[in-house]
Amino acid sequence: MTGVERPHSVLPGIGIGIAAVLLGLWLGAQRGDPALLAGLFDDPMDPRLRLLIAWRLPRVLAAWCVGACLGIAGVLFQGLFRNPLAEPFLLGGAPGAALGATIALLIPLPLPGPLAIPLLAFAGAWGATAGVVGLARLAGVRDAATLLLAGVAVSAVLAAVRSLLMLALTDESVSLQLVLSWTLGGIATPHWPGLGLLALLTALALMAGRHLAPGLDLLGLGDDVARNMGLPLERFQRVGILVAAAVTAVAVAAGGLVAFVGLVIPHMVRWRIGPLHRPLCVHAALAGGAATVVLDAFARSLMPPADIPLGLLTAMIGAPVFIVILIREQNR
Amino acid sequence: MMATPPAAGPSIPLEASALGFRRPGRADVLKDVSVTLHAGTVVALVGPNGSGKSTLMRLLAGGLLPDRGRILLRGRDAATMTPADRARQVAYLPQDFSSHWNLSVRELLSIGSRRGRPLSPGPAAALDDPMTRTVIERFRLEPILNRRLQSLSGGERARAACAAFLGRPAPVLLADEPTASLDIGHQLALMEWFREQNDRTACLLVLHDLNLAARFADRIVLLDRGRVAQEGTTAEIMDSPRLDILFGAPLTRVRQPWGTAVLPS
Repeated sequence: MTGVERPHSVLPGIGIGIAAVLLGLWLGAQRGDPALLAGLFDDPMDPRLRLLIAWRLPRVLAAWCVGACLGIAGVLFQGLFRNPLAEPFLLGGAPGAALGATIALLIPLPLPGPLAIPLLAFAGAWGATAGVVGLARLAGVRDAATLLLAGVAVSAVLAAVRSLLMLALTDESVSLQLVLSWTLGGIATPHWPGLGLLALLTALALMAGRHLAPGLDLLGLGDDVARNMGLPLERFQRVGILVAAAVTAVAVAAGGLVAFVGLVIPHMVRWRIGPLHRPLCVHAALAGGAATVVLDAFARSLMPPADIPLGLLTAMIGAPVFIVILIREQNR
Repeated sequence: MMATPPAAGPSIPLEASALGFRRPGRADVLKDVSVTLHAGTVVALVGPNGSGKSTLMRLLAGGLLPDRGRILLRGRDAATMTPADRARQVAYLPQDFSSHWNLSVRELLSIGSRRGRPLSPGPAAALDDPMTRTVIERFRLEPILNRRLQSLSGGERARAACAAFLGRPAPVLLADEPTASLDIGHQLALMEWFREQNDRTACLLVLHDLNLAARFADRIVLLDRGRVAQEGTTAEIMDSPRLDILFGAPLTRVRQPWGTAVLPS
């Protein structure tokens, strides 16, 4: 039969996401009592329950949003660069965000305290990528490989500026450790309005990803075919990169530099559901969210009372997984 | 099916005049090339390696922009059309098509069905419309629908790409060496398929096999070092001594029921 191949259901992804959220609620510096979760409706006034809802639940949900954004951004960057090794921090996003956060931590700014870091991290991540794209455009660069080189150069400059700021401006009042720990990635517990905004931006990211996906499918067929099929190639790539950078910046603003999720998750999802970008986007969001929730739960609970920086944990687990992926791709 | 005198207008699917293209800092790849494709005809583009055939195809397909000259699609200047509008006029199969992602044949067909609608999601995997079913049957893709491109033979991959990019009606079909990796049975089947296109469609095919051109084309355009060396009806070109000169080899002509075939002498 030629007909319908059942599209891959999102139900398993949602189920795994719910399981991950429950695990995230349970794990922590203090393990949640399963009976407490089970008795959610028995005594809504139980202070432990209220603590769980006021503190742990927002963090778990924020982790889910960060992971989902990284998964979507990974799919977008890999599709735009037609390269399975592309990742969300490719074009200067990471050093840009780190510079923004460093400025927020070290320089007094007329910004409301809790917003300074996410705002400047967002501006840094997005600004760096937009800067790379703009510079490349000014220089008449068209191909993706040269754009990557421009990204490497801009990244080096941003990292140098950040190091300089750290050397010049840290003192007893602001420690280097504070700046470094942000760079290592970690999800701050948001207020509910902040979480609402993050959830809204994550939903927008998913919609943008799904919207761009058919164009990414065409890009994968080569420039000539993509143009012949009606894709306005240069404009699509430029807009796509700026959208992908914005999605990355949302993740960075809420979770710092969480490594490898945006690189590894799209790969693993592609194995399961194939390379068409629309379903890939949705499933990478679900898988990225679930994976980040679980990793964040371990980051909170492995060495209590300390939080292991999430970015360190994702790098320690993500890097070996990535090597396995590379070996597996070689052998296919 | 025969050549009609060129008359610009909406009835002519494609009319390219005085096209020129050069790569920065190098000699002209194409100089003053004019080609007219009339509805209901199959035209073969023939020439030695490096004569500019693929570049010409890419210009006509919209993959490259010409430095000089213009392309009219049904009387409209292609340079003023949106990419999506243009895509609905001209379908193109490049030489040696390859995909960056390891798509299944089904997925490739689904992407191919979005011509002129680059951001439309289209069917994710369902290929139920009658046109797609016909194409699947015609290109014998049923057994390989769920296989991924990297697991296919060169011929199977070429058939899948043909079906995906040329399988749906368009006023102009461009194919760059569509028969290159096909066995002789599939070559004939594919050429028959171009032959059967309706009388509103024009086909331009780059062919290295002169005998396929002789048997299936209405006209032949000979390209040499970026210029049109000769253009005419298939019978004229197959009997022309220019053919021997162009390929640097004396050819023996053999009469066949369908026209003149050539063999290397």
